Amino acid sequence: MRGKKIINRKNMSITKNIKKFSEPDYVYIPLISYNNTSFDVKVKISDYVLKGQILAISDDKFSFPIHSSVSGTVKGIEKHSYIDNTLIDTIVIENDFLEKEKKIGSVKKINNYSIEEVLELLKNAGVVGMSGTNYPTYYKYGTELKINTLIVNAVEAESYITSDFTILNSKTSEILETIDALLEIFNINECIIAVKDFNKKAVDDLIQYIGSYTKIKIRSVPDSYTMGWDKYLVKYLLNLDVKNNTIEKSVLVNNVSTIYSIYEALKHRKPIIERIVTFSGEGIKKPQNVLVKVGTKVSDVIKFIGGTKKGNYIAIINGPMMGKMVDDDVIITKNTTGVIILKESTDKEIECINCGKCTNICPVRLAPVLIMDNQNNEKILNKLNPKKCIECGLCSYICPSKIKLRDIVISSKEKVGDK
Amino acid sequence: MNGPYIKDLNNSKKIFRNILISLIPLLIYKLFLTGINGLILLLVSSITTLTTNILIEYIKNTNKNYIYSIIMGIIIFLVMPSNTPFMLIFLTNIISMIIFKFVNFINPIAISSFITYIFFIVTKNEFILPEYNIYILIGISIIILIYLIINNAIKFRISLAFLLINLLGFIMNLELNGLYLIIVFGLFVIPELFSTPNLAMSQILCGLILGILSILLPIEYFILSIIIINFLNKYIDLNIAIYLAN
Ligand code: SF4
Ligand code: SF4
Repeated sequence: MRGKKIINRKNMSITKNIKKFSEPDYVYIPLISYNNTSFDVKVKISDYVLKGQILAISDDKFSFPIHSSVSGTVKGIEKHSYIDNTLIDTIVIENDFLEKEKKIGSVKKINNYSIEEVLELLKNAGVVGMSGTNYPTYYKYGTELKINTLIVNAVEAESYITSDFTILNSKTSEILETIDALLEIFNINECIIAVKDFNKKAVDDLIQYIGSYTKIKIRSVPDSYTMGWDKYLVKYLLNLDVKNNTIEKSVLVNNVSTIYSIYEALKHRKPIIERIVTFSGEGIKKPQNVLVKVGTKVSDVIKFIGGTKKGNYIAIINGPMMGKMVDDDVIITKNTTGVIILKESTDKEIECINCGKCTNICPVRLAPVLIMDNQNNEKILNKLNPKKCIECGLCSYICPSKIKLRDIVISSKEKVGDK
Repeated sequence: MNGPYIKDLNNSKKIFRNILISLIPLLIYKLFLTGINGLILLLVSSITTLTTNILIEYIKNTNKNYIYSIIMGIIIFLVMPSNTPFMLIFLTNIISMIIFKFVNFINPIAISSFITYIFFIVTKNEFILPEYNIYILIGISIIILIYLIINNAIKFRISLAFLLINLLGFIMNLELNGLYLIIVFGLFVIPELFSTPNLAMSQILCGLILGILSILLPIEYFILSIIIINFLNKYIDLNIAIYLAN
């Protein structure tokens, strides 16, 4: 399997305690669920809202309700930057710091739910893929196909980011309890927790706790970038070739932070209104993981943890390989795994030396250099199938001439469109 | 600005520097065997490739890539018979660098050496190769190969496939083109960066085909076959890439 051990800077942000930032003056609750941004807003300016209260709903099949992450007063709707740099509507709430929560009904034991009840709870709590996908979890579990294996993805392939690592280390028993409940409720045969070789501590902790959970196994995977990709994991762990979606092989892959969100939804009936986010990089004064409310401005959190160093730095959201450079205005969403502050690159792009490294590293076996050479030949471009690109960035990472191959492949993808 | 925002520490300069370092043991050995005549030949060869390159890049106003032209000059020196006239190496290098600068998928070392070997045949002169010690030569080659593979500096799959075929030929007692030439061609000439395919599969195929041809053909035709295969490489690469991508 193709991949590469990329520059590892995870140690920077691993700290013993997780800081909690629960006091932003304002939160900007993003009106987005998966790809949908059209919502029926249920609150008006000056309304008082409780923490966890539903603010907006949508009919879209991938949608879930939007909850408030603080108690306070609705101030209006403003546009702010989303993690992909697009501007989206957000509901602005002035925090009263009282943390008044919406009362919830009776709570059952975590494994005492029917499938329908779990799906309903996951939808109402807005549980999504927390690794960046934002894909609704209720939709994944709502499959009509039999699930044989649940893979809990704690690989966290990106450099610098340690939010999954932190949650796995700090909430080990809760995660195992949730997995056990899911196996029972959905009649899943087994679960494999995939952890990187690097994360020895998590493996040791899991082994300590795992004794009574006979259906749960831990497997460490090589420290190689793109190993966290679902299809690779299924191939590596189960030797199954996935064409489109892992469920076609009766395998469901969930990120470990998502499992913890499921725990919160089932155990405490809590919607997902906060998450652990890594703040790291050479430009951050005190790199660490922070528990942040959804809708908090990134700049507020950075100020709270001590700010950035002086110099020419850029902010990247969700990891240096696949993430995007963002501005100060960006807000924390459910799928924000980390904010990395790095020095601006001074690498100059030079002529291709035809070394072939890009073609021999691409995990989906594309030939980025040939795609680049055939930019203007649509017929050949189409045959080179840039649509298959998963945008992992390995080709740009490895290129000794520092050519932005990923951008070229992505633009070729757009060029060939659906032809 | 789009990502990735971290990059591998390797870069083109380091790759060229590694090739240059890997050339040193063989270069010293050939200089030791050929003496002052060899040194002049080396100087003529590398200065010609370098100055031609500078001139062309000045005219074309393109990226300056001097280190690679010096590498070319050194490899051409290694391939050439020790009795190559200085004027001949001077002229062939100018021709090959001009061709290379305009059609960079043709191996410049192959062009220079093809003209030179044909010259020897036409003028009915016998070409002289260094009289090496087989153990020293094999030892040096193994060190170079390991260095290049560890540093991932050349398209080592081509070299490995080529050398493997020649080893098989040796085991089968076939007539080979001389160990010295096999090693210089295998390690430095045929895996030349710009004139070789990119995909691992096409690289192996290229090495195997050239390995077989090096056994079947006399040296001048073998060099000609390298040039012909240069024309096919892009086509082979593209088709394998299309096959793998779908
Ligand atoms: S970004 Fe696309 S083309 Fe480049 S290595 Fe990843 S999948 Fe392949
Ligand atoms: S990795 Fe860069 S230099 Fe090497 S072949 Fe690909 S584009 Fe060219």
